[in-house]
Amino acid sequence: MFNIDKYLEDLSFKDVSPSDDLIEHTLVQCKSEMDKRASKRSRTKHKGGFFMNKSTYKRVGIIATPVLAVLVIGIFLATNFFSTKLNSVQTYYTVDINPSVCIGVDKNDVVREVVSQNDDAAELIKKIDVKGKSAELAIGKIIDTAKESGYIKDSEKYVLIGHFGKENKEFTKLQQSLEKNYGDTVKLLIVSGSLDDKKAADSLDVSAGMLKLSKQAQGVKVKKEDKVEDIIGTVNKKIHTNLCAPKLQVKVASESSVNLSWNKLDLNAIGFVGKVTYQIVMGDSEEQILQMNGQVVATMSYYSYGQQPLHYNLKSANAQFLGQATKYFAIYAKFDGSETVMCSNVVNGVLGEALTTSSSPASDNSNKNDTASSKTTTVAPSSAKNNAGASINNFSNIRGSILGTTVSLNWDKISYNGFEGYKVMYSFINSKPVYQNSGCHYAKWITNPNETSCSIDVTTLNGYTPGATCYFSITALYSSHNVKIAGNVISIPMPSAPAEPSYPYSNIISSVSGTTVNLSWDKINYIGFEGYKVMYSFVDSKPVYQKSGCYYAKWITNPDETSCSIDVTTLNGYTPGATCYFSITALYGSHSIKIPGNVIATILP
Amino acid sequence: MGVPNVLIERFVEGDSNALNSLIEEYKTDLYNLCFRLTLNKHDADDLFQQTWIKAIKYSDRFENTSFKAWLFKICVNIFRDDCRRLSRRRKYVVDEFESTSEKDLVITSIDSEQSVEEQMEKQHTQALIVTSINKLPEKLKTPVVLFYYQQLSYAEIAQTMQIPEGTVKSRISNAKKKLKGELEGYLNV
Repeated sequence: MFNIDKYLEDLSFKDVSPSDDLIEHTLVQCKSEMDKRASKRSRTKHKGGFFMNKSTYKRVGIIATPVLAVLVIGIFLATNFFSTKLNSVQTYYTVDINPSVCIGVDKNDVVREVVSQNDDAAELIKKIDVKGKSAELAIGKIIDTAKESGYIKDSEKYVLIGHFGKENKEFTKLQQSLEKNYGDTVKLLIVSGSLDDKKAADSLDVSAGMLKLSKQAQGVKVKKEDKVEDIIGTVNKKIHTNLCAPKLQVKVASESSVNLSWNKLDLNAIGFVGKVTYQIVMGDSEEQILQMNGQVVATMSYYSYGQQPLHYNLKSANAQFLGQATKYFAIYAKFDGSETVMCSNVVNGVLGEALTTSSSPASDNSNKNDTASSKTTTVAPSSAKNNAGASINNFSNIRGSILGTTVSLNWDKISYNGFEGYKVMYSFINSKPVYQNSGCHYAKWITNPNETSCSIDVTTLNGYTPGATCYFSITALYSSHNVKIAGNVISIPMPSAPAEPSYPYSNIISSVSGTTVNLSWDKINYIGFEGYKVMYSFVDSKPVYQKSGCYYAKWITNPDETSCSIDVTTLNGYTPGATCYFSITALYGSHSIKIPGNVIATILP
Repeated sequence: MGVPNVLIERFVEGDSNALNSLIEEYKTDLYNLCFRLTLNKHDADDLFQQTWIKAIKYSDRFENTSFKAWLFKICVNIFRDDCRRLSRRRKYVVDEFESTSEKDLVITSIDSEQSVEEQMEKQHTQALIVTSINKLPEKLKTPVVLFYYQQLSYAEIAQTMQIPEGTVKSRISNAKKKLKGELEGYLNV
């Protein structure tokens, strides 16, 4: 009697644990959801002025809706009527130093309202009276008072000015004036947005300037208590993955010096905020450069000012050194609020000799205006948007091969102090597998930088199909997964599917001895082979695995084991003198492919 | 043993530290449920994430019952909605599952009297059962997974799936009939 309960109860699943990556991503998403809920609660609180439960809302709503509607229409009509006569607020400026102040100005840029956005600001605006004054004067007064009150202690302090409304001549004048008057004493940032941006910030109960600043990079959240520096740090950390890499060139100038030059940088295009310091570094080995231990030979600092386009055409720097030796050069970048990262290719040269370069990926997307002499060779990063890895370690030498169902991959070691690990990526649908990209999976996660090879059983890959092409690559991760560097791609065809079932091995033979049937057959020699099912049936003259009325007597997984003996008295439905049909079904590809052999009919003793 | 009530209260109030603790506490139980329902890693990952996000979204609806049961209820509801919404989903899941390694999902108890071949045979049999369970319609599969592999009682399943206890019993019984019909030919050797 077939007892399904027993089978179900005997079955136990293995315990599986969520990966650390999954937990990490879940936490990030959950925290974002929590933030959303918190701001929703906050809005509810501000709108209502007090908390009400759902049923109270319903009851109050029934009574209040018509009254409110009349009031809203009345206020709307009254506002429209008077706005033509009164100087209503048309534009907002935010000043974030922490204190954070918002001022509303009319169409003539005259201050009509001043609102504190945190407790410090409430104290500060008590000390000033700027209503009726120009926006320029008001903002200047706020900065000056913040200085006097100790909120601005040195020229490293950021002051963020936000402008929300239509851009006009007054705004341009104001920017020029602020830069002239305060550019040397504070780090001035100016952002600009629409009135909708202001409304969005109001609904989140944060400064519109800070919210706008946070939009420089995706996924940066603003909290009311955040300081300008906090947002800048977060934004700059995010844009590491989008660094604008200068293409560095080296040219021997004399026995003791080289000229270094690099291409134009579009800092605005990468969403850069605040100050960046570029360091031209020199080292005795590529390793030294990669480990961020290069000797600084030149330094340059640049600031961004809000939304204005920024293009810096950098000049060349001379590096002096003595003696004949190979020297390596690169550019490091230090963004405000973030660690120093390498952002260019590595070049090297022997003094007095023609220069050579490190073996970076070849695609050159750099500025066409760059000039290079016959003694100058350059190496461009692999991609402008994903160049950090190329420059960090020329991550292009991934090799792969397949033997049977095992793929072997190896690659060059990454040497970088922010390195976290190698994700061994694969995809059957995406020809450029990169960690966290759609359709891409990882087969291994290797955190030891010295472990530069791995083997993968392709039959375990997600989406494995015999004969399909699988794309492999390695993504190196840095800085808490914030930076991911994809290497080159290897495409490897998977082992082919066996031929269509057509009784490919027809040499199954049998002999009977007493109540024992001996079967033997030719060896199956095929990649993906899983085993032989020794099948029999008393009712079906062509027994095949998983066919109705057919059973298997043995399951043999060793391809070299090509014979077996069966005690016929143990067969399901055994009757002395009956004809039993035997065959072998060979299984492949996780049982998805089955190939039956020829059939032997035997009269049982 | 459940988590302290104060932790859940803090979670409902939006405390992210409480969230960390709850995820840590329930990650294995919940992920196992996700995996057994979906039988593939990627869908299990999605289901796990969606469950926590919904738990936060609807945390103010949590009543002072078992947090784990509430979490499971959310998970099962999402799975059911996904199956309904994606009419081809079950086929997709089955295909993906069969193309990977179902044998890797099950534990074969070691019987010292059994040969290696017999143990492999047993593992293969169990894999066949897993495949058949996965082919069941969602409304039959979920109670089977909860009853046999999450060790929930009929009453707990009824609460989780929001259906009467009698319906749970009849669905499990129907599931067993289907499984029997599917497997009898292969296993009754």
